[in-house]
Amino acid sequence: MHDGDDEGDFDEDVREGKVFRTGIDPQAERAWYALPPGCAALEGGPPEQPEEVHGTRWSRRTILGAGLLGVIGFAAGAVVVGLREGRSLGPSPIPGDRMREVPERIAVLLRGCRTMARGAIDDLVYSHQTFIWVVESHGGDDEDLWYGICRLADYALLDGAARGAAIAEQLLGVCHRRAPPPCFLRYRVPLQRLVDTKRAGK
Amino acid sequence: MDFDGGELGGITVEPNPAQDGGKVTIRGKPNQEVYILVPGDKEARAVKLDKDGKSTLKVPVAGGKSFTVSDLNLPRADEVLVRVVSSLGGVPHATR
Repeated sequence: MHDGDDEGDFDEDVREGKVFRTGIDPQAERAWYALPPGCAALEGGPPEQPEEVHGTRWSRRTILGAGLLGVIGFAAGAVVVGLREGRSLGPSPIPGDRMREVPERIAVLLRGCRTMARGAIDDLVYSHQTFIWVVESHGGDDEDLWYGICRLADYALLDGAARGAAIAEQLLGVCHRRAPPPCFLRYRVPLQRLVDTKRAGK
Repeated sequence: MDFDGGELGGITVEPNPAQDGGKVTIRGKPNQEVYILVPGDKEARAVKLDKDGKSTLKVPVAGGKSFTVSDLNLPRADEVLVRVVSSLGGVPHATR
């Protein structure tokens, strides 16, 4: 409380930090007269502050034993995982040597490829290697995807240069590894002619 | 797109053409995940580049064949075609 006539003094006291706000300061230390934790303020009543529970003190032997068990368990788990995955126990000096399927991405890739098949030819040509791999490996005889393959074949034949020949070579590789659907059969001869011409010209 | 197997975007592979039975070093963005696409294989091998954006692996196909390193980010995937030459040398070409 402060007197209205001393308002100027009150502001000054606030600036100088002489005015104390009411409320419970959680950072305040326990008063010297405070009851120990666990003691009831009133006889028969609950304690003001719960008794502090000290954690179990670990002996040095216990800590060392727990650490040793952890190391053994980790090593055993690593051996089991390695054996299950067919790895040798020796170090693998070259990272990325492990085969890993990406099935969760196949559906996304197929969806993206179907969009690309009927989308901008620039995108199709830009990512044609990925597109061709997805179609060959996971596309089956999907009409939409092979429509994109046919568009790539048209592009390769129209280009007629190194870019077209590279695409033609990859498309022919697909034909040699698997039977293409009927829509692509008419491209085989002209694509092969393009590749042969480019090789002869080198 | 550099159809001689060079770089576009951010992924590079050296050497290219690669040697049959040798190793290639893939360079890209740090911690990037790229995929090795081998024609005819249904599985795409995932390779995680290290903090320097580099990873070395064995050539996965024989001489005369090729494989692709791609980030699978369609519709504009960064990809590199790597041709593999046999250890006896010769002009790389697709296997029939």
